[in-house]
Amino acid sequence: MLVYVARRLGSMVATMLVVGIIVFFIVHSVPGDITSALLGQEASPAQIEALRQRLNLDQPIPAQFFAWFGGVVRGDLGSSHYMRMPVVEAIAQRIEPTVMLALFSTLVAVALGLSLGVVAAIRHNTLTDYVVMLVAMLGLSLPTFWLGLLMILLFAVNLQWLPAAGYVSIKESPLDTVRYLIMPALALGFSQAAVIARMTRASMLDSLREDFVRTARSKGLPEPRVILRHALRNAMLPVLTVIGLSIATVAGGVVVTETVFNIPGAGRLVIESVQRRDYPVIQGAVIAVAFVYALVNLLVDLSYLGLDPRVRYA
Amino acid sequence: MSAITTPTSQRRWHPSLRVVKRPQVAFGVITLGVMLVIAIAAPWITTVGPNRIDVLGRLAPPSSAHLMGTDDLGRDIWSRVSYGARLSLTVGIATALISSILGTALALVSGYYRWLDEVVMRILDGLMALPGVLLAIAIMAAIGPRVSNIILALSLVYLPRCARVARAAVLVVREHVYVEAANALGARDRSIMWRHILPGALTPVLVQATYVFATAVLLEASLSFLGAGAPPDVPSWGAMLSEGRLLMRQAPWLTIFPGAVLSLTVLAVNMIGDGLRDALDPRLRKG
Repeated sequence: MLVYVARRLGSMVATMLVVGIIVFFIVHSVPGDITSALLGQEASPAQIEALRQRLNLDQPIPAQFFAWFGGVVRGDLGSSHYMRMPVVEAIAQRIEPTVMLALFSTLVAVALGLSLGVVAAIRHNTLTDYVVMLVAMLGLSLPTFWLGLLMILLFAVNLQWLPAAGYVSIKESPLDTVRYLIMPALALGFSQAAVIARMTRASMLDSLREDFVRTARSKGLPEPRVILRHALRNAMLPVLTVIGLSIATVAGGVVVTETVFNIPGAGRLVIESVQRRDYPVIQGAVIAVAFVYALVNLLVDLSYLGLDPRVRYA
Repeated sequence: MSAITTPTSQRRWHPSLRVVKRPQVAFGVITLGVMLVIAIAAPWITTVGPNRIDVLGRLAPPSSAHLMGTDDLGRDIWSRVSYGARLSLTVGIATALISSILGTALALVSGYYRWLDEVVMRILDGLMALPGVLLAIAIMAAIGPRVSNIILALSLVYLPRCARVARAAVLVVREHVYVEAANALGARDRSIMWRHILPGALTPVLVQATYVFATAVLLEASLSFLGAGAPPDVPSWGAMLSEGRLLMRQAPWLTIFPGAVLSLTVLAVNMIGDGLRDALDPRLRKG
């Protein structure tokens, strides 16, 4: 078991190193000199030289990478050219709406996806199953931002049930936070729910055919208990993996959803930084998201230990 | 895994023909075919160019003169939707082709030479840890808004996903007796890879390529919606939705039509993908 944990930790460190190299080279692929992109055409040679020194651009590429990556490991993501503050601080200021949106939409996705998937598997090859699978197919195909726009048109503009856009901090009014997040979380969670529902259904269908389910039934256990305690628990391993992987999609979807609903979160910060060509912020945000993703997937893999004894003794 | 299973009487058909007989695949093929025709025939089925500004005809609702209405600059939405299909389909097809060909080649080489496998897989894991949208935004921010750059960025996003699928297939095929036999007969590595392993590993790659097509169309639209995709003079469904967003109350047609066409296209490709997967997977065929 310790070997398993150590191996997973090692592969996470390796993955983060690769992520660092990729992100570093993306920013270094900016055509021409990055200083002219940052300072504009009218910068004086002295200004350019000062910036080159500050960014370590006068050193060889491997030295630049290790200077930067060393900082990343210590939690220093550099500083924003535009906002003139550390990237970590800039992201921290905008992180609350993003985290809330990601949590809410994951909640929507898991609740909706699991229940739809289980229902479709129990009612395999019936009308219910077909309808659920059609809804899941729509979830995979409708763009999050279009779904969001249609929801605004219906629930905010026409019916006026919910606020069209914006965000209220949970420190000010938790109730308003929820009201403002209902539509964004549904829009973003729907596509994830579709992925989870498809995986849950497939996995449940496999698990319902297993001998231990037949044994549980023949013991005379009530059907809900057979489904939830025996079949679903076993079907959860691949579903958990999909939920872990969907963190990446949620993190990407946050950028789009925050734009649609004018939520002043870290996703918006990334888009604003693209427009300002503020590369350290883009770089920092991408690294931070990759770290969260790698961490969540590490936790998912470790949760197998609790769910499946076979992994524990392997 | 799909809701619709193949009747047993169709089993003798060749998979590529049988799959079209499924209603969902037929729907997908017809819809995608219509989109392709619209994209190719755009100059002949529209009356004005996609970038033609008409200040007097601003925000006109759908009518016989403007099938889908006009936007705030008086540009014809039908014309922009038709030309937008060119961008979406070009990006989708090119990304699917490039990422699956490169991904398969990478998988063949790394799946065959085990010493290379570990290194390649770590690099792919690193790429996969980056959310597609963010990775694409970062690349586009660095190399600038051009259609070829979108294809480059999206191919890089989907390359690891294709390579993983192809690798899994290569690992299975590699263990087959006929590969061992070819090896024993003294066939060269390259010949074994291309003539013996590749054909056996192609099926899952083909299915994956359709999903890449669908998600690449979605991702291009997302990038353009965020202003990090197509350049301003190239009509894009995503960019149209971004422009229409601000005028949603006065002119909902700016939001509804491009979004509906985009969704329909992605739905069509996904349906083809599901149908192909069900038809080509022997396990599912039995069910």
